[in-house]
Amino acid sequence: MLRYIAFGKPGWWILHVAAIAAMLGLGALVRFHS
Amino acid sequence: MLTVTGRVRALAIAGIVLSGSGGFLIHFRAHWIVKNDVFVPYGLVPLCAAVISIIVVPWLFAAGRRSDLAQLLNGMTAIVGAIAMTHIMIAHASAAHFAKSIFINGTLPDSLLACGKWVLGQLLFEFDADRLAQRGFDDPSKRAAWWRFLRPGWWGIHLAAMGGVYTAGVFIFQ
Repeated sequence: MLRYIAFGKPGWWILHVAAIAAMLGLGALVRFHS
Repeated sequence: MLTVTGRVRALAIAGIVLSGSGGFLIHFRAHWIVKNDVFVPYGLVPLCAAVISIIVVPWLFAAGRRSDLAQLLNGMTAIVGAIAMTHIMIAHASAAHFAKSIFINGTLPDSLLACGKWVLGQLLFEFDADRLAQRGFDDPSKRAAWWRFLRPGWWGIHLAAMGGVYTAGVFIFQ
């Protein structure tokens, strides 16, 4: 089962910083390709 | 013989495979991995999403014990796809033929296909939510916590937040 990553824990921060970077990058990527 | 739950689960998994396959073929119209003998890395994005939607997610749902991970992947591909396609829809919208450019020529139908996939995944997740609760996962019946992990409000918050970050990316990297 998926381990629940609690709000504010180190894993939560790592996941969210990575996800924010990925979404910023995706926005820029689609911007340049459309 | 499958129980009613088993039959509904099998139908919902088939629905995810079918809508994922439809999304994959629609992507294939627009994104080529090789164009004019040149490799296009961007073309791998929909292909990766299709592998997740058609193979990984149905497999995890069918395995039965990983509905949380399956719905996390299923919902995230749906959200990210819907956000990106809404951006593409707005970018290509025509003021002169607005309705036609949105409903017929735009990517709104594709976004709705992704939303349908999310609904099927959420249905499968709901079947297993009670069993997951016995293992310490958030119990949907004991807490009126609509915003907890993988509950509908959690998806709403993530759709809004990810849409906001994506929009920031569009404007920051001009």
